[in-house]
Amino acid sequence: MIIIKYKTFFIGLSVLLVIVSFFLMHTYGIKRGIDFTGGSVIDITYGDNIPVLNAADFKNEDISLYETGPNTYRLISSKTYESISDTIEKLANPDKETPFVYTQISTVGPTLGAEMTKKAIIALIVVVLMILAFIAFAFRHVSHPLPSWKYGVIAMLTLLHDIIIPTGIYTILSHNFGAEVDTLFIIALLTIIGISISDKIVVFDRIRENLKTGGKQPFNEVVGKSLKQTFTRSINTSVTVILALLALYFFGPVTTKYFTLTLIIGMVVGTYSSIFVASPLLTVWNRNK
Amino acid sequence: MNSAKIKAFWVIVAIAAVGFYLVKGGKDFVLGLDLAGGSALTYKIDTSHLPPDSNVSDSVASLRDVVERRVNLFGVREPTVTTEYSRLSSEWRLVVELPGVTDVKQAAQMIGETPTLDFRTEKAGAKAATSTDLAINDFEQTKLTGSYIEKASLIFDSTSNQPKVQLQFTSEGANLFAQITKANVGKRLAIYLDGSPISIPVVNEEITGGKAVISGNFTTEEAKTLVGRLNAGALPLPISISGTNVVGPTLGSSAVDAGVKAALIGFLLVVIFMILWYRLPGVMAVIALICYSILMLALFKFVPVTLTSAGIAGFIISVGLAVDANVLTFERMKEEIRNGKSLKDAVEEGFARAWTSIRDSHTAAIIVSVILFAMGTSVVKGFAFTFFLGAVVSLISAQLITRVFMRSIVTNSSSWLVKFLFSSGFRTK
Repeated sequence: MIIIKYKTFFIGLSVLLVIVSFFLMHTYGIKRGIDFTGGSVIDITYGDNIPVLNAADFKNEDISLYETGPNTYRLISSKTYESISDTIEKLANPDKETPFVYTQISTVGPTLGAEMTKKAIIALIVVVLMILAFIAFAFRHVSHPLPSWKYGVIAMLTLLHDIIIPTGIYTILSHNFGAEVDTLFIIALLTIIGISISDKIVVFDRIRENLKTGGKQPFNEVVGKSLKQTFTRSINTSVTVILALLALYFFGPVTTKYFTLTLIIGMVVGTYSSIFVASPLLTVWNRNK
Repeated sequence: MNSAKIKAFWVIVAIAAVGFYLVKGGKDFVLGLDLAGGSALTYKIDTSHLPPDSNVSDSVASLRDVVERRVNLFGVREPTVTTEYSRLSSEWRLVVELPGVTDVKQAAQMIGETPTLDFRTEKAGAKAATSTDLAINDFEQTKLTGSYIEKASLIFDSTSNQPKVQLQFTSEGANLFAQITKANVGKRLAIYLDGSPISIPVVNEEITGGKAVISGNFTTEEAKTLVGRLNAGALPLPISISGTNVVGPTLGSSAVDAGVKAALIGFLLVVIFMILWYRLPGVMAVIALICYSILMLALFKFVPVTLTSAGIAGFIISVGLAVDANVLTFERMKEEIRNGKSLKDAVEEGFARAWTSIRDSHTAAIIVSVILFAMGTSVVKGFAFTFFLGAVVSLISAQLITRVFMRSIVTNSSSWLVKFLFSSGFRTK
């Protein structure tokens, strides 16, 4: 089986991507959105009259101004909407001749933000641990040649890989297009975990079955055979999910664009790791024993 | 017709009935604030001044009632007012959702300008009753608050013609007031409005009639406003805003249009792919997928599930899960055919052997969704709930509906056409 044969290359590529992702996170930093830091995001839309806005005036009041369309602007501040609403009305409509409407206002107080951060971290940890426990349980009858908890550990390692790489790529988006790490981003990561774990389970399940029926075949061959059998399914499932996601990206609501893009990246990375990393790692661990 | 075909027929009839009811049933989908437009306001509830022996959740509940009454008074359609306790930050919160209200100032005024009124008694060891300086720390909160006010009215002092505000307590409030005055004869009783004392009379005797008079130094105008605000409902606990989320009506409806369009196009792409690759079984899977979607939409409409952008995303991803269950089965079936099994046996084996994979991968998805639901805020909950429903319905649809359809089309013929229809991929092998 070609994948098992060249596993050093495939696993190496993953390790490299993970390192690059950490490097990106380090250089660009993870820009946390107001969901986590507290502050406000305000979208305004003008009618026919659009004023010339000076970003520096806004900056003086701790408001960042972004042009989001021909007649729409986004204002981001670390203050609450209530405390800057008068300033906004004065700066955004200086001559009283350029009325605007609020398309969206969202303010998160500092306590709520700190709590969201805690919740997101706890959710990620709990999900990863539960998955580990579930796999160890589901594969409890498989003990030869690898004990079931090792399947769990490998699944967990590859899951981390599957969320680290999209996060790394997201920092590029964040750096260049102002995408922020918000609640939707965390949902995207957890969804990637959910879908990608199914992927790994399907391959592992096949290994479990082939170990039962395969007699005295060497472990490497059993893994290779299982990969071959599940290969089409892995690709086809990913293709269908990615097709649905592409539709959501190109035609769906603006609010879920970055969310969808993160999921697409996660799907590609997750499928790659299911086929080219998780199962080869099983054989590596078996040999090292 | 064999029994498998009859079963398939009844499944289609049943789903079609659900579909008909879905379209013709009088109810509308419940849209969340991000899709329908509206505001959500989160307040921190200040419970620090409550007397130590009081039941905090009772006070919070009465706060909720007052705010709800107040919001209803303004004629907002289907507002929701909920309270929650956050263990992580150990604080109580009040969440007010106002569909259709997109003017955040108006919304905040509606709630924020509700006065908080409460009565406080002298702490033990406070300065003498005759002292006139207002030492706020000398007082502690009692259970008697604005929520026990039945009616407030404007009266004028018969000698000085000074405007005063008269309060009529509810019977429960009257009892509390009697108890408090009885226990504090000769001491000061402070009346706090929005956290500061407005009047600190000395109690002369127990007052049983359930009436109290506030003789702050009001102008007639001030007294009138206060009466109006108290009658609309006084808050038993002070609140301060900690989060706002307002979505304008145009943003919401464009999100709905885009979401529906994306769902339809995504569905179409999946259908084309499935039929091209899996041919006749692909067609069966598509029919099962349509059934799946009808069931999901019916659940959304009739449970009802409040739909948000995140929720729709959860639904679209769960479609992926449902397709996966079919793909797993068909790939397995194909293998069995390649191993020389008859079509009929291959179908049965395919379902039986794919089951453990389907079960385990769906269980993992369900675990993730349950954790998300338990930990999340409302956005996350919306996603987690549709994802959870999707996983459960997908299990049912892949195992029951697709199986019934597949059994109904199995034949004993082995002509080239049958072979072509049941094989897959773009090869003709």
